[in-house]
Amino acid sequence: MVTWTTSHATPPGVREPNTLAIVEFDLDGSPVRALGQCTTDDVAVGDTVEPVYVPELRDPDAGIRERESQRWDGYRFRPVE
Amino acid sequence: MTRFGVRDGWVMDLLAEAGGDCIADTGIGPDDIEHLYVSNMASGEFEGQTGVPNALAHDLGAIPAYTQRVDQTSSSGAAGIYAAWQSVASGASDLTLLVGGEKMTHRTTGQATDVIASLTHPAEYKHGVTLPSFAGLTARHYLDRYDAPREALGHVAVKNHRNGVDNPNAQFRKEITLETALSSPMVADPLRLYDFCPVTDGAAALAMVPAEHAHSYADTFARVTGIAGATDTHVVHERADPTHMGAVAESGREAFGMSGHDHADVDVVELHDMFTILELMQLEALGFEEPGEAWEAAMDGRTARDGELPVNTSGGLKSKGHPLGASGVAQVVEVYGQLLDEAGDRQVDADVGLTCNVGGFGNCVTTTGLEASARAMPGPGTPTGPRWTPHPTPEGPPPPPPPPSARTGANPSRRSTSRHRRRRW
Repeated sequence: MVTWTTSHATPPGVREPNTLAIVEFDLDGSPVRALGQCTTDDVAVGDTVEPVYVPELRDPDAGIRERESQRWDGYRFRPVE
Repeated sequence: MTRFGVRDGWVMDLLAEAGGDCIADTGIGPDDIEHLYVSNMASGEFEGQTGVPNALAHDLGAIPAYTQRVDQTSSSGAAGIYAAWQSVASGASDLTLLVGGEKMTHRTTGQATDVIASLTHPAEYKHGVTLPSFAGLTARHYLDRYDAPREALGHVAVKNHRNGVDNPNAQFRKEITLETALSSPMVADPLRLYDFCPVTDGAAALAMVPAEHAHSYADTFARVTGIAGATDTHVVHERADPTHMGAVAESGREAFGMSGHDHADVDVVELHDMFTILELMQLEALGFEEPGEAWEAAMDGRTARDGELPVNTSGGLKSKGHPLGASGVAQVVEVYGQLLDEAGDRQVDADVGLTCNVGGFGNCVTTTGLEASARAMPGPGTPTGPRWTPHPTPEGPPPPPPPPSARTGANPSRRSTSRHRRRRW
């Protein structure tokens, strides 16, 4: 985990609080970054995480963007020992 | 410019107020306007009002001027300045009016945040990523990487609130203490309420003419000496260094190169402090400070109004407010006032100024260099001043340069100091 934040003022359809992190994976020797929600608020820089699939990361009908304009599933990051 | 804050009027009311005031100040006739640009991010999303350039031309009586809306999210204002400058520099227009404005406060904070967050990449939006959450992620990384104290960000907020007290158009005109900033409610950990700009209504306007015509409209004026824009990745977390604003650096390099000025020439700066961390990152990306060292400038007062390089004398977005499409225009209005000794109680000693307006989280940027007319050479792109010459004489000799102001003359040592202050770039 490179960095993280917990957002306490979230837009419509987004869980509150919403802990987000930028993580860096090693992909065939090259670092690849991803940004996403965390499964817990108890995170720290340097944590090792694994992806956990979530079918709907926010309520697609509550925000300004049209439901059909994009996908809403994805992965949350879960710290591992 | 209009007063920024919670306003009763809708976007067209605000645009017409700022545009009308600018027309009155410069003494131009509405039907003399050849191009009319409107900087606005989201009037359709916020209040269902589209077609704002045509509507504003109608309201101002600027028919049949060419009109165009400029949307570059939070940097719409400076993108409008770039468009207006291009219209004059290209010869397409001899008199361009730029009006930037936004009406936001009728929406809840969550709704306004979502409108702004809609600029994010789908991979970010679906996670509920907002601009404030980008700021929290980046601030934590910056503080950790450079071993900077959290208090440094609080000092930015305290400074800009202090400056806003003396700006009659600012949304917040009250000082805050460092303790207040550091104990305010958490918004995006580690950033708290006073690290963020407010949701704001407001508008600002500028008139631009070729420099060789400027004396027909004003005895004193400011000249655009350099202007450039740049773009960074749409996916913010793909950037190699999260603490480096690449588009700020690129636009700054180009604007400095065009202007012929270097950093030591710059006397006053308006930066896009939508979040306190952004003021530090822009100081570094523009080359005023080394990477990882701008927090020291915030803590030791170098960017205060009486410091080596006054930053955000207007109060910045932080205190003055951030009506999206208006902000970049209002930055230049502030520097214009500083260069012409019209900044009132917040006046500093300035002949050369710079503004940096940021869209997204550094996604789109425009940097503008400005110079007071007393030192200006003829060139395109000139915001005109409010002191209209009643009998325009385009071919006549320009008036003599104004005498040294009492401020400059009274304290020549400060000028000398600022010219030789330490700069690292």
